Amino acid sequence: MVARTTQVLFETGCNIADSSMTRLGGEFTVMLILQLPLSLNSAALAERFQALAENMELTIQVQPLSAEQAAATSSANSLQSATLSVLGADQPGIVYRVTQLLADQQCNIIDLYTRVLGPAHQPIYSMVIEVEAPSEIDLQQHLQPGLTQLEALLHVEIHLRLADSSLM
Amino acid sequence: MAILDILTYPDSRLREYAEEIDNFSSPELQQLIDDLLETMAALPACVGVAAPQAGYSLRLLVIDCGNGRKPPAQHHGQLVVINPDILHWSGTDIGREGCLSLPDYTGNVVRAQSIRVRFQDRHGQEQTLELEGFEARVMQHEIDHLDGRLFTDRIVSRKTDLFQRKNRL
Repeated sequence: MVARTTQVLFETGCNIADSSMTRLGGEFTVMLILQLPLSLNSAALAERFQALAENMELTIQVQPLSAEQAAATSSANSLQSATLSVLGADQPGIVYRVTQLLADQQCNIIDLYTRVLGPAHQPIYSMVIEVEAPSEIDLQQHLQPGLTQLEALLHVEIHLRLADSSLM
Repeated sequence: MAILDILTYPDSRLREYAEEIDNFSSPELQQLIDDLLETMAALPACVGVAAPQAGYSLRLLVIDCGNGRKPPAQHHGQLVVINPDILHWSGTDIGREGCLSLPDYTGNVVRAQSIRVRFQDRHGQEQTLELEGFEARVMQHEIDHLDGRLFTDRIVSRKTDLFQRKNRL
């Protein structure tokens, strides 16, 4: 699927600026940020994908982005980042409660990745979240009390790792 | 004194195994040490530089955790480290590292929590220090440079442990 998709991009002269591809259950999803050659617009690209979509039963969506929308690091200097990892017995509400706390503390989720580990009768839930927040906030101070409460409430371990911006 | 240019990935010189130093009275060596110290002090939030990062394939590095964003409560201040050898390590910890030679990324890296390291100072005198936490991490990161290794070599999962830097320094 990846080879067939990127073959179309190669043949049309598109450049892959960024990509994320993953399989969830039996579904495979590809997200791409593309730079198109001047001779091609997004409607024409979508047309080039039509045959592939029909042959392989794919859902393909092509959406034009402005240069700002495409740039991942647009709002650069005013932001800091951190990683949050959550590990514990699977139960309803883990994602909701943790993400609600992040939203309340002005943390924006950039990436969220969950996986259920362990045997079926005793599932362990693992979640890793990458967040961005305004750099003037002391994230440790803002998040830790709420995270400690959630650890007790949900019986999970939560680790907050701030991105130290020192260079080596 | 001079501020040195830092090599960035994929410069192949970052992948070389650096050479031992035996001539401590060489004026070129003493000059290079001063230049590395000046370079470290001049770059914002820079806590360490290894000679190979400046294009010199020598087992030499400088460290100063006091230059960091959030300096640890206890550290040894400015260190000039030549021909280092880790004699002992204990515990492991995961922490986020940023590298001058990979300016666009930071990564979660597993390192020893505390180390005992033997090295020679700028006059060739042998020293042994116990380092902990962030300072131990910086030392291990810089020693990796002497062996031609980058922190990305120690990343377990590119999906969960490697991050694009938000604010390039």
